[in-house]
Parts: sequence; structure tokens; C-alpha cells
Amino acid sequence: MFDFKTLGMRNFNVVMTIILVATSCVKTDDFQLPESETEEINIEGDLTGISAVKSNFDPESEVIYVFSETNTVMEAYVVSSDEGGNFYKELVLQDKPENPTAGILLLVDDNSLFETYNFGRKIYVKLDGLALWSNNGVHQLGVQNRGDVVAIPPSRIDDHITRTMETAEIIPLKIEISEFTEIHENLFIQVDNVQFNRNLLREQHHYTFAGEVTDEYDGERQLESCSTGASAMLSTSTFSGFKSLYLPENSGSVKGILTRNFYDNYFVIAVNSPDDFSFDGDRCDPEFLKCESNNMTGGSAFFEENFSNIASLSALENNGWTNINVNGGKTFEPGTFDGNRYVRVSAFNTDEAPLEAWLVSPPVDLDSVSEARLSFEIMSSYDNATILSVLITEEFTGDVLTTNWTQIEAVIPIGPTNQYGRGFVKSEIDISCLKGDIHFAFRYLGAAPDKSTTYDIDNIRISGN
Amino acid sequence: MQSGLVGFNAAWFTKPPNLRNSFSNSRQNNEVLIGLTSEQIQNVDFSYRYRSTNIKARLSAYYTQIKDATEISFYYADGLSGLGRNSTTAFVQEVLSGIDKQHLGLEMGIEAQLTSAIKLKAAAAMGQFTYNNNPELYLTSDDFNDIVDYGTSYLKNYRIAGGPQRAAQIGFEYRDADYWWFGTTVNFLSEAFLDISPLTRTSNFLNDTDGLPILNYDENTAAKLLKQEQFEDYILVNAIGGKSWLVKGKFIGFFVSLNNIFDKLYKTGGFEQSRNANYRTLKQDRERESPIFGPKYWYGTGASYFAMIYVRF
Repeated sequence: MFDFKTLGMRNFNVVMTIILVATSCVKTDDFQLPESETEEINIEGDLTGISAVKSNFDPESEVIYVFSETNTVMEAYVVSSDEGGNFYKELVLQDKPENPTAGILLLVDDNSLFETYNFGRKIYVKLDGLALWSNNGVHQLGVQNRGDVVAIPPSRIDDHITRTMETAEIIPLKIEISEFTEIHENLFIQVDNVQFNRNLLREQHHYTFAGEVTDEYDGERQLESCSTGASAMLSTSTFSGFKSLYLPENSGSVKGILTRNFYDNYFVIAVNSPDDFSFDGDRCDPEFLKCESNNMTGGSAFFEENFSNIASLSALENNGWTNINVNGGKTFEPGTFDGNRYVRVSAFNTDEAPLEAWLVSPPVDLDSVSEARLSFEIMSSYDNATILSVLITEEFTGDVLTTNWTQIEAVIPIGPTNQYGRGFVKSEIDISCLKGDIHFAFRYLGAAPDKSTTYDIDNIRISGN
Repeated sequence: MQSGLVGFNAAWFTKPPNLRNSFSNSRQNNEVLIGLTSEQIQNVDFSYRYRSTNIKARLSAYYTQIKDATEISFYYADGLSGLGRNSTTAFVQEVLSGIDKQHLGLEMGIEAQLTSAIKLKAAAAMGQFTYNNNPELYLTSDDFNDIVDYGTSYLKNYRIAGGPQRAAQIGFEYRDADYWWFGTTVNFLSEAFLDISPLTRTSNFLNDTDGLPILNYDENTAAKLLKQEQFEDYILVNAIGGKSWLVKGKFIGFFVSLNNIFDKLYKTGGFEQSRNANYRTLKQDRERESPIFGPKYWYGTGASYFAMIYVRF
């Protein structure tokens, strides 16, 4: 300590200034975020691919194949996401991010896989201890539990699945519905220029992805290709988060995983989320007959057929109906239930693919009729696709294939998948702009075994003034 | 009469580790800390004092650096990384070593005797107490086979908790010749901070159970989660007063003091719980209406009164 002098005070100020400048004020957000400090992981074992893994399964014997002491590791990319709830305790894997050639389903007992194994993530699967089989129509990897292959239990997930730092951009494989084959199973595909069947989008009943009372486990919705006319099912789990959303109305492309339905009857597409639809094109429905009469009531019936006197094929033909299968197979047949007679068509229990059957009405003269309307009732049972259409013509040549038909916008109901329908649905169509001898026809285009919906037709009537 | 005095002190000393920060868990094992070393403390301060007949004042500045400090904490952590999906929780001992801290600040005080009865007082302190580097952190636990090293804990520029770093006071005292007196002070306090959790400032915060970064880790959200909470500024008003009488050679008097007269509710300190050890668990907990493992706070007392009557003989 020393006595204060002017000189001392000045020194003091200088020192203080230096201290304050050297350590300027710190703000509360002046901190650095932690860093991951992760280095790329090392994989021990011999690398293999999905197609090589799948080849271990013998489809003849269907014996579960168990990997042991192979010291191999399968390289794969994740293409499913359970974030939307459409996949549950499973990862769909494919071999390459672009132009994939093989896919497989890995069963993992974890219900929030997307938080770790995200879409596009490259992973390695250690195979020793895993088992391979084919179930629900696809190859599945998991662990053996007696006669089953089940999901890898949580305690063993880390032993078998190793993530890499890489999350690849997955380029979907562009493919047409008509090109679906077994090798495309479990791949991330894109189908362009498709739309949902118009019967799913009616004003009185606009279907959701899987939120209908009739949907059990999965909701299956028919997608049609605008370019080829082929159709396939979109399958959505009733446990998915987007099951109650309405199906998009327009046409466009859909990205998803190609797989098989539960009973392994046909191909289905399963999407990761509703964002995988880019439906921004116009619909490609056929040109329907469009007449412009406003009167849809009253008048008298001058053609009526309720099939009550038709108990045989010959009776049907004697009444003037043309009933043919263009390939010579199964046709429409008279049927009866609870005293009511109707005609029925179905590809169930046939080997026909395709099964194209036509039921053409006798001629009806409309020259003396004004404000004519056609009505009929249809019931759909064991529905696995909408494959019935109704057509009309003024100039029937006698051959369904050479006749120039116009489609009419009938309501083709969508029935339950595994039981008889709950009732007939009536269509009523304005045909007032047609003249002369008209014929109308029901056309069934099925394909056993996966497009085999049963349709019953009854109470056909043309009325007018 | 007036005089001024300038003072200067400098110190450098080391502090050897004590029992508490030499063993990671002395109740259970004999594990000595890795890289155990002495703490070094350097300090300089300047002061200037001024005194005249009715004014007393003091101004001082200080600068302290602490190097190689070690801290051990015990807690239960959820969301440990790199140990596999089945080992994300454990009761751990956290060893934080090589901590550098920096304290610097200014303090001043002035007291003026305006008349023989009235005295005015004012004081202010401005400090900045921060972590000055990014120390190393590792965990030990009964649940681990080995230590778990999470590397650098990014603490630099976070504030060290422990009361307000800025304070100011204005006071007034009246002492009547008639044996009664009262005084009041107004205190303004600010820049108090929550004690941060070092574990969430390591790589553990953003790594998943397999050691790879957590998906959907968002740096902006992370910056919000890791921002240190600064407590609200607060003002406390206190008053004291009294009177005494001389009765038959004995003093009889009373004394009253009122603290925090306006019943201000204020946080004096607190700490982040380390339980939510990673981005996912911390974010999830913060999004709750009331977090389950949110920070723990200490609050100051509300308005309080004290009064006494005395007889002195």
C-alpha cells in the first residue's frame, strides 16, 4: 500500500481497462454445441447381399434355414418406415439405393424402428443366429422359434443390426402394375399414372385408406393404371396413423413397397406415409354415356327382368339374353337365394385368367319412349377387385367384341372380402338420348385366383314415358 | 482532511486434491481418478480507497483464474449413448476434470454522511464468472464394466452458478438525536444462473445407443435446450428501525426489521438435473406441461418481519 498520487490513479485506470477489454462480456448463448465425435464403424465378417441370402431358402421343401457359423454380414438399405404405423416391428430391406435387385423383410421386435433405422439408412445384418423362411408370400429373416420365424428380440437387436453413418437417397424402381413379379417383392417401387377405382370415391361413400367398418387388419383399395388398365391393391394397416384419411381422388404416381397380401394371393403396395402419393393429374375414367334429362321419376316400365322365371342357362337365352365368355369358359349363371332369383358371375374356383364374360340384354326399342332410364341392382360378395362394368349400345352387331359400346356410370358396390354381400345396390341411369333398338351389357373381367369377386345382378328395368 | 489509497494483491497457489475429488466412488471401490492433479489458482486485484470527513469510498477490480479443477457428481442418467439399446440408464459417477474457471469483476461502495442524522450508502458489484475451457468427462458406474469416456464437455463461456453476478444497493439511514432511527435499502440483483449439467454438453447429448448421432437432431432445438437459464432480475426492499428510552437509568427499546417488504418471489439458485442425458430424453421432458426431471430451484424467502423489545441494564 502506498499513498495516493495522481500517477497511481492513472495506472489503476490503465490496468482496469486492459482487464475489461481482454475479457469482453460473455452472453448466455455464447456456447458451443457438443459434437458427435463418432468414427465410422468397422464391420467384422464377410459381406454378402440380399439375393445371396434369399437363395438359401428352398421353396420346394419350405424348411426354415438357420444361419450358423457363416461369419457373414448382409449389407442392406432400409426402405420402410414404421413412423406412419403401416409397418409394425419389421424392416423392409433392399440391396441397393437405386435399381435394386432383391429385397427382404427383417422382423425386429421394436415398435419405433424409424427413430434408429430410418428410411434410406444403410445397415449391416449379422446373419449367424438368424433364420430365413417364406411367410405371407415373402422372404422373412428373423429368429427361429420352433416351427416359426419370429422377430429378433430386443435384447439381441444390437447384436444383429449395425447402422452405418450413411443414409442413402432411395430412388424408387419405376414399374408398371402389369410387370409385378416375385423378384420385385420387398422393393421400393414407383407406379406412375394410376388412380383409385372410381367406385371408391363416390359422393355418398368416399373410402378411406383403412378406416371402413369392414376393414380388418388391412384395408385394400384398388388402384388402376391409366396406361395399361391393369389393377393392383393398395394395402394399408388398420393400425396405421393415416387409415382414416380419404383416398386421393386424382391420378398420379405412388411410391411404396411391393409385397403380397396376407394370404399370398396377389401383389399389394404398402406405402410408408400418405405423402408417398403425388396425385396431381386428371383422372382417366372412361367416357360415360351422358344424357341430359332431368326427369328421373315416374313413367311406366316397358322392359323388366327380375329373373324370377329363369332357372337355367337355356331359359336365360330363350328370354333373349346373350350370355357368352369370349374365351369359351364360365359365363353368367342363374342363381337363387331365399326364393329370389338373380344372375351371378364369378371367377372363383376357375383357372381362367383372364375370365371375360358378357351378359347382353335383348333389344329394347326406345323410339316410342321419352325420358328413358335404365336401372338395375348389383350385389358384390367375396370382393377382391372391382371388375364389373356396364355398357350400352344402339348398334349391337351380335358380337360383343366388334360392337361399339359406351360405358354407363353404374354403381359397382364394393363388398366384403370374405363373405356374402349385405345387399343389392341400385343404379339408375338416364339413357334418354338413345334411340332405336338398344342393348345393354354387363361385362365381367376377372382373373383367377386374385380377381374373383362374385357379382349378383337383379331387378333390371327400363322405364320412361 | 482527505486521503486516497491504492492497493494491489497478486497470488498464485495450488490446491491438492482432497478425498472428495480423488476417488470416483469411495463408498464402493478404490478407483482413483484418472489424471488426478492439483488445482492451480491465480489471482490479481487492485483497489482504491478514498476517505474524507464525510465520504468513504472504495473501488476494486479482481481477476481470478482457476485451472485443472475436478468435480464429481452422482446421479441417475437416462439416455446414455454407445452402450447398446439395453444399457441406456444407470446410476453414474460423473468425473469432470481439467476445468478452467475465470472470475473477474468490479466492486464499488460509497458512504456519505450528509448531516449528523442522515447517511446515504450505495454499492455495486459487477462480475462475470465463467467456465473458461472445455473439460473432459467420463462416467463410472456399477453397471459398466469399464469407464465410459464421453470426451469433451463443451462448457466454455457458460456461467458458473452461485448467486447473482451483478448487484447494486442504495441505502438511506436516519438517526435522530431523540433516540430513534430508521434505515432502508433497495437492492437490485441480476445475472444469476442455473447450474448446468456437464453430461448434456458432451457427445452423449447427440449420440444414440449405438454411438451414431440421434436421428432428427436439430441444432436449433439443441441450442435452445442447452442454453443456460438466466434467472429473472429482482429488487428487494428492506427496512429497519428502532427507538429507545432511558428510564430510571435503564434503556428500554424496540427494534424492527422488515425484509423483502414487497414479498418478491425470486430464484436464488438451482441446477439442471442430469437425468435427461440426451437430446431425445431432454426434448421429450421439456415438451411436457411440467417436466418430470426439470431443473431444481431454490427460492428466496418472501416478506419477513422481525421485532424485539429489550431492556438493557
